[in-house]
Amino acid sequence: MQEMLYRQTAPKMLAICMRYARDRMEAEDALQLGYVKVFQKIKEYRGEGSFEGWIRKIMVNTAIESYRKNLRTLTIVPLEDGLEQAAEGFDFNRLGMQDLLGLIQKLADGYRIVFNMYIIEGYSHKEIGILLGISEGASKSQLSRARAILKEEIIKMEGINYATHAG
Amino acid sequence: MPHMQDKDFDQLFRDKFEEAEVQPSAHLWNNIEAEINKPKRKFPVYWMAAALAVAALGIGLLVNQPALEKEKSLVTIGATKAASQAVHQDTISSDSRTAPGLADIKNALAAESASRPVAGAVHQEVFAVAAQQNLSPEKSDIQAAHADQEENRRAAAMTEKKDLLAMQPSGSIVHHDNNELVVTQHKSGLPESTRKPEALMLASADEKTASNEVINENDTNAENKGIRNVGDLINFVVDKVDKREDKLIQFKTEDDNSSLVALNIGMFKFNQRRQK
Repeated sequence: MQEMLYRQTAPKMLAICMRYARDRMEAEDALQLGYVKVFQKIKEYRGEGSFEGWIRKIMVNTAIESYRKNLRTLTIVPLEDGLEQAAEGFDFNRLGMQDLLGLIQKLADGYRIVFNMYIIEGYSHKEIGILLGISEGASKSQLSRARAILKEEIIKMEGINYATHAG
Repeated sequence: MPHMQDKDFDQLFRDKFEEAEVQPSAHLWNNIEAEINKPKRKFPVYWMAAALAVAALGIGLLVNQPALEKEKSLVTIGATKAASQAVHQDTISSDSRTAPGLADIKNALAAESASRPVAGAVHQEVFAVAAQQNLSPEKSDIQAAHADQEENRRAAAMTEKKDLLAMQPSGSIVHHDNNELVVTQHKSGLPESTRKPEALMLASADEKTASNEVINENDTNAENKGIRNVGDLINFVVDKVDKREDKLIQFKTEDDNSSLVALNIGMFKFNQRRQK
């Protein structure tokens, strides 16, 4: 019963954990922790919303918690001028999920967490500020920095792709 | 290609990850299963503390093995008394076999107390109250007579016993100062081993009037009303095992709800009585 639930949901949940972690090992540790919580709290599930959504929430919370536990200082790097202009002229459709995942994992911890929470999970900057214990403004600047870095990285990848095609 | 808005950029990531799946390593489920089937080890802290206290008491009793037999007798007496005090007193005053037994206990207790000067006072109280509660005046007579008979054989022990008997009432009298005689006796009497039972009787008589109030001031006396509840029992056992002035643990047992009044665990001391 428990194993069935795990088999059905784990791949999606690991994809979530992967976004919050730096590598697969860290992600699988978080996944394990998350599922232990799921089975411990399963009696608390009231049937509100989808069961998968409930598990998903636990996974995200676990990821945020474990980030907060070994809270590394959020290094705020000043934005470089001209980066925004560079962020044009690339083709997303060539990029697969694995590519993007690789890029996200390479981000500094603070950027990665804020990016995930805001862009994919849909938290507001206010909520992120409260959950991570940072100011709303800090959350915003982390996000724009994360975006800028990702765009830059994608352009680099595109360049390599073009070079490969040309050659 | 057109300049990409943040909105579109964000949406693209959302789309890419919406249905994303990554296959976990095969061994991961085994780890989770082992984790969730682990038996709960959480043992309530207070149960641990209680178990430790019981273990400590047990060790204390084992170490004080020689005193164990006497404690058993006293406990038995206390319990019997609690059940039927009047009957018990009748039995004791008429039963001459019990008296020597009690005298033995007293001698042993006295010897024990003498070897521990600091704890002596507390012990005497226990002893004297036992005498006062358990023995009717006739009982004291029997005891004294018995003591006389065996005086030659146990001169040393008797000395201690008498000293203690003489000392005990003086404690009461300090509170009430209504008997100069015994006070004097106490002051001058300790070195002398020839004090007569009459003096002891005086002391006992006085103690009877005074000790009730003394007892009210001193909750360490489990024998006061016998062992009626767990608090009494713990007080009694701790009294036997812990000879310090500040006991390891003390309970107030006047009311039926035993409540903690004093604690002495090394650095941590607590005494409700003294905070008044």
